[in-house]
Amino acid sequence: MAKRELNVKDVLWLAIGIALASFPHWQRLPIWIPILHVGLLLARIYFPLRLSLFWEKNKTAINMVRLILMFGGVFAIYGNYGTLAGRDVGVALLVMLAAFKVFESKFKRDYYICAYLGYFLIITNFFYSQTIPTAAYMMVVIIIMTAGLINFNDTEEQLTLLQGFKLSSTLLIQSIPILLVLFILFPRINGPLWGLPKDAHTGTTGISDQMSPGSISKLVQSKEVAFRVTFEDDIPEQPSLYWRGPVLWQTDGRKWITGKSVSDRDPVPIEFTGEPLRYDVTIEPTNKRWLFGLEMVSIPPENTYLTNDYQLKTRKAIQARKAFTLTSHSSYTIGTVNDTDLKRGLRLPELSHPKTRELASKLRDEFKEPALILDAALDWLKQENFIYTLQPPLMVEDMVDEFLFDKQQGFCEHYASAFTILMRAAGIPARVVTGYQGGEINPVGNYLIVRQYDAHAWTEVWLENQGWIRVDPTFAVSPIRINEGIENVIPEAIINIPLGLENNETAIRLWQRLRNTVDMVNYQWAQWVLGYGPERQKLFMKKFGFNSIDWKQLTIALFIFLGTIIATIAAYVFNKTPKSTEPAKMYYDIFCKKLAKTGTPRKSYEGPVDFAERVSKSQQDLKSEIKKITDLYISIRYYSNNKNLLQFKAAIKSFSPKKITAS
Amino acid sequence: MNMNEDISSSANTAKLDDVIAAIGEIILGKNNAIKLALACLIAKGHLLIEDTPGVGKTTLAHTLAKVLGLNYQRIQFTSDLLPADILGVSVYNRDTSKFDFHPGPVFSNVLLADEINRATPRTQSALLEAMAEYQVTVDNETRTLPEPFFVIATQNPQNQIGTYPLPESQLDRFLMRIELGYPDNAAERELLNGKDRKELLENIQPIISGDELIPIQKQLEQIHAADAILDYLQDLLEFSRSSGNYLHGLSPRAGIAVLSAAKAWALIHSHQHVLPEDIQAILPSVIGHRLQFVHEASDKQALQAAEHLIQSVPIP
Repeated sequence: MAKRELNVKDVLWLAIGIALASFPHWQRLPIWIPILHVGLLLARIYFPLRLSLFWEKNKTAINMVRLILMFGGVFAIYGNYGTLAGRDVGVALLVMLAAFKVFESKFKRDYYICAYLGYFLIITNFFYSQTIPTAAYMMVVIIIMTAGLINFNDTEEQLTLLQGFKLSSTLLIQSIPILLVLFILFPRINGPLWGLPKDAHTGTTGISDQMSPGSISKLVQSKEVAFRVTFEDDIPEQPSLYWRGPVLWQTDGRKWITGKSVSDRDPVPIEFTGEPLRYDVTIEPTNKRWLFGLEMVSIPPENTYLTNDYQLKTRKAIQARKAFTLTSHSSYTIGTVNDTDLKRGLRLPELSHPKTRELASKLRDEFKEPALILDAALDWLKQENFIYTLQPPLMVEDMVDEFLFDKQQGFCEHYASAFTILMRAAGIPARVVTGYQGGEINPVGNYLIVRQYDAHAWTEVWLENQGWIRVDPTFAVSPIRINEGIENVIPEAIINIPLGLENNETAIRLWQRLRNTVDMVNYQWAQWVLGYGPERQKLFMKKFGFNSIDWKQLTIALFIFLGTIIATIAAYVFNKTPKSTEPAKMYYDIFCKKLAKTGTPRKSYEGPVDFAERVSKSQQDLKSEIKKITDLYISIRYYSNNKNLLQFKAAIKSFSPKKITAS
Repeated sequence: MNMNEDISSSANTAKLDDVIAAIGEIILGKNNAIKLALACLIAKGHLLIEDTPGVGKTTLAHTLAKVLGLNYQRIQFTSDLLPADILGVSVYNRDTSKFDFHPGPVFSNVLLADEINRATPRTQSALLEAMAEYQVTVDNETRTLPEPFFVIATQNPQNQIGTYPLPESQLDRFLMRIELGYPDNAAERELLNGKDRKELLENIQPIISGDELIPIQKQLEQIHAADAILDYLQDLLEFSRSSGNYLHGLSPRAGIAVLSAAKAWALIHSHQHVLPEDIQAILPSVIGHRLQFVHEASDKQALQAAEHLIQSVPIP
């Protein structure tokens, strides 16, 4: 057979497929790559004939030019990125070279290579985004690519464009059972199946291991989700939702850091009272090791541990959305602690904050008892005219003194920082705890969304007989922040109502509901699709009574299920597809099968007319339809009128006699 | 196919309907047998009508010849009939001092051979050359028979007294063997009430002429037999040969006979293509006298052999 050369239509399909597959990458690439990409595709579409004639004549020259162009492109990419390894460069190379491949495509073989490249390009989108819209877009591109392949193989042009798309979509839908089995049963390991390149985890926001003025108020401007929580029972009251993160011990008067790590020792003894609270936390990637639990986490989940100042940490940085099941007790007493910790809790930068020290010693002289000093300090905060604001005035020299006695405007990190220093100066061990406070309830899915703007900082002080207790100076200044959430204090940054609808209450409600629904779908997607790791898999298997199933058994189960599915499909297909190689006969047999289900099977030696006559007697209502199909069949099979084949096929497909139960 | 041919072919089929109707006025309640007989003649085949005396074999043969406007000769076969009585004799002419050939009844369009199995095998075989070759050799001289030429023979069932069973080679010359059987109740009553058949036969007018029959026969070539039909026919032949149920498999000639009879049947029913049903309709008549079960002695079982064949071979 002669080599099948690509015609304009084939190239058009290919170019559209490749362009759509790489389209989401364009914004991430240096501008010249998409331009070159589209340019090459258009060139291949617009000059197919001239190009191929030219090709034949100047094969060597063209090959040289191509080689030079390609190496030029690779060098340019190297120039742009400074490397040829990594995710971004890999994608850039792929996008560029795919267009080159389409540009030089001539024969059948080239088409298939390009199609595979296209499918691969589709996959690479997952390196950047794993959201539902991305997945949906990729599905659409897969359907288009497959429709292109169908068109390419439909050399007799039997299918219309729509039918091609229909077939392609059907293929995709038919793959769902196998997809599900592979997804559910494929043995999961901790962490991603293959390592993503290093540059895959840049630009994540969140609470870090240090705090300086402005670091949290900067976070508050972000509406990104930090984590979502599903409670086993009711969602606790807003004021008790303190999500504990990094604990900061050491300060230079401005900046707080965790200090020398004491973390990996066993936590100090703690006593829990009251009912345990169980909940699932699905955390967004932070590229850090902190996990945020309600104070105080009593049972750390697998692969995490509690430090001795009760930070919950994972063994590996969280680089992908992950779900954990946590247990907390809201009432607790942290027992005795060794002296080194208490000393660390008193350390102050030397020769700083004179005014604060002065206030501290005044309080200490007046009240003596640490508990009384604490109350007095909080009272003092309430009496003074402190203002809770995202835009505090500039404080340059002694930040704590300036804030407490001069400006008196600040955000939670100012309060936590200043109050901890005040306590330390008064001789009470204290530390700063950062994390999140509150969260927004999604009534659609009944879960809590904690966003970056819920970031918060508070103080923990050590009192004899009571242990470390939480003191939130922000609460003293702005109780609303704690009681009703930050949305009610600084609302302008939080809810985006589409322009012009700010005053329409129904619109606002609808908008919120829509937002909540979208978030819930995303949450489910995150929990059950992206977050389907070893734990989820185990949990899921338990639902089916497989309590301890290891990866070997999973693999066996996987093959059994796949085998069963494929065997079932094969049996169905073999059963449905008669031995005949003639399409007309094939469809006629389907027709006969359908009628056989109504209780009138065709005898093997019964001719179509006889059969139609016999069946019509028992199925009067189908008479005209049966006659139409029979006439078409006869015209195709016995009068070699193949033009009717499509019409015949359609008639058979839509033919659905009612089943008659055997009487 | 162009328009003119289309019109003439549909005109022809209309005429065939008239022919069937006209014969049906005389032979009551035997529509199927009439159609089969007509199909046999359109397929240029010789027809053997077999049944007990008195069911209208001869009447059917006569009517056929008359309605088709063919000139016909009838011979009553007897045990003392000689070949010359069929073929003709050369008689010495004194005036010319030569032998003049006096053609026998075979020189006609239709030869009605009544009770063919009453003649001796010698006489029967005289018909053989005429039926197969459409020519007659007498005194070393070969003479062509007129066109169209049919033999319509009738015979009594073989087990009756004074019959000489037709040899197999001669049976094979007949495209079809049909049976009439007794009329049903209504037809019988009408027969008893109605006029004398002989009288009716005298008065019947030809519907078409012999010249018109030839184009109708030609039209057979335009009937389409698709691959699927040929597959089916070959499956039938193959099964008859390899299944071991039958004494002899069907010959290639039988296969050709089935196909042309099926085409004629399709033409009568005015379709342009052969259907499996067409083959099944003519099959018992075409192969009934050619196919026998291995363990069968009774001739009556022949029909069942054909039915058995039909039911054993699925339509591809």
